[in-house]
Amino acid sequence: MAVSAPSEIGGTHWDVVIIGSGFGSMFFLKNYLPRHPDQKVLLLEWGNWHTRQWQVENQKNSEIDPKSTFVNQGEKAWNFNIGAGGGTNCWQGMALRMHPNDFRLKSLYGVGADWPISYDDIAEYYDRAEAILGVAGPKDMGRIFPGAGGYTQEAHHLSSAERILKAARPDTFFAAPSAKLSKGINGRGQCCNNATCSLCPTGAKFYAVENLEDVWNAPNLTICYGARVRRIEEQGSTARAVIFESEGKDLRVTGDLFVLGANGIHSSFILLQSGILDGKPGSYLGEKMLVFTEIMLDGHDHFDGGTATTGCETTFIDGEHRAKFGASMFWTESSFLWGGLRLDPPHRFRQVFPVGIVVEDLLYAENAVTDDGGDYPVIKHSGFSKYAMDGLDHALGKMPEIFGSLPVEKIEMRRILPTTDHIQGSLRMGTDPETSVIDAKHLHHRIRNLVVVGTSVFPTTSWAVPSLTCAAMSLKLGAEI
Amino acid sequence: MSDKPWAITRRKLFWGAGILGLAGVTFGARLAFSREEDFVITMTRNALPGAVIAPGAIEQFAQDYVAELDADRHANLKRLVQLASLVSSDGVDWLLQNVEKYSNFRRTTVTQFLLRSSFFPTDEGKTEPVEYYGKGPFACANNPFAVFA
Repeated sequence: MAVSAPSEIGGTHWDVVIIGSGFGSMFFLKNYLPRHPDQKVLLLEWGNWHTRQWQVENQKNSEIDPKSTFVNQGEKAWNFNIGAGGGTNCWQGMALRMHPNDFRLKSLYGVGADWPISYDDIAEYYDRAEAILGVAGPKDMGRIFPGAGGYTQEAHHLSSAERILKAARPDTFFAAPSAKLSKGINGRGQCCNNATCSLCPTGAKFYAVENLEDVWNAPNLTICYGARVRRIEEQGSTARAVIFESEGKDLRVTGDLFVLGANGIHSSFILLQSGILDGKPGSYLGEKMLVFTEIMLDGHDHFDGGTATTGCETTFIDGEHRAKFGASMFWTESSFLWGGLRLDPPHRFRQVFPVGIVVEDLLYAENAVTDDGGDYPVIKHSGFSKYAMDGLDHALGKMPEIFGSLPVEKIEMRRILPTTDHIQGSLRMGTDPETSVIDAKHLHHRIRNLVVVGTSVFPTTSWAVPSLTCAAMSLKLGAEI
Repeated sequence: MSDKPWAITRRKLFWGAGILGLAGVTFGARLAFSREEDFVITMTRNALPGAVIAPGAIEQFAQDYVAELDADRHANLKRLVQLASLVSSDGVDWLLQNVEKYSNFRRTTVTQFLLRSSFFPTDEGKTEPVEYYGKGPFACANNPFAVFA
């Protein structure tokens, strides 16, 4: 791995300058670097390199507390990771595709926005991303997501309760695809269902710092840690340079192509501070909702599944209801770390079935990352919308029907989680330069040598974990640009 | 003697102040000598009725557990201890049994004891007293019920 100190690279010129090293950047580089072996590529990362072992031993993903890097004046929390590999460190490894209709929300249901790309556009890159991530999943996943199911790893073992569900709902309930190995391979361990997936003790979960060695070690890639990018300089309609801060000094590198791949809060703040305001960067910030519920079982023991999140129930991920309220999906959990084992009545420790509900929300222009002139972005967000709350009510109301094949004693809604750790929007892709920042090819509408990758480009939240889709989109971009 | 039984007199004021003072001192003393570990011990014992637990097992768990709590959960525990100074640990356990935040704290805490001890291997202490295994990390033993593909 070629690592240069910030002071060594100040004043240099590069063919490509990459900002940030999360899913968006790393999967872009995965395909881009081998195609352009003669180009000099610089990766600027605010955080540092931390091995998985370091993260487990220190019980954190980075020495930078994300909350210290923004001012939250909104109604909800946000979480992300700053460091080599970005969100590939702290994610939980869930790897479901988006539904084809997620890309057509506006034209089908009259709400939200359409994506300028379709499911078919990225379908082959879903396959590749799943292979790179080492996704363990079920062969019948293609019933919902066209072409899915060719996973390289066998699905994780479903619990006995989940097998009842699968028998009752074969077309909508599935073993959950996840980037956590069900069988260890090439030194990468098997999932042990420890449920501490953001700090995986076995390496079963995909980590860029461990599983993208070919990218980190590419001969034409130079990496600079401790480099916080502050601005992108443009001249005419061309990006010319990046100004980054390191140890209190501002340094400058020039380049021919710039790839902005920090998270949705900091990528948009960089454009705001740069005065590159086309398409209203920062606006349409949001994420879907995650809700913790529990089904108290009558006489049936649970938690015998092979990974933390074992199943997914997909009945309401799409349908006419999306015209009125958000799509929803049920994760079934074989981990009790969210809510603990059951204590009441005594001796029924395993008779509880945790269910996480994810609910789609709409993105609104007024929910935004803003620049008040200070050093850090200011977030103004009014919390989950009525669209999401009504979607939650619908999902809760349907739980007796969905889970009716189980010996249900009672269903209890526990809490809405303060964040799902998935920042979406703020630099949306679209066809209209007035309401979007980049086009279908990830190129800035005006500055054509500026590319944005990552979940900040998502025009809608969908109900799905965005990481896999983000990876697929970046693989496509890296293969084509 | 005053002919108005509820009239405030200096004597009544004196006694009232004395009682309040004594209550304050008692509360202060209980708070001063309350230990977070004791609350965890009581809460854990109450949650496992009938279990035969080796002497010192829950006590050692409580000591380790409190030491490794993150700031938020530690602050919550301190508040519980303050409340217990007024109504006892048993009282808190009873009063808050249907409060979601307390229920979650109780379940996740007791679950940690169950996982870090021989509770399940000894069939809830039926075959031999439950022993505490000791402080973590138990890198891959968070779910002893898991079955793998």
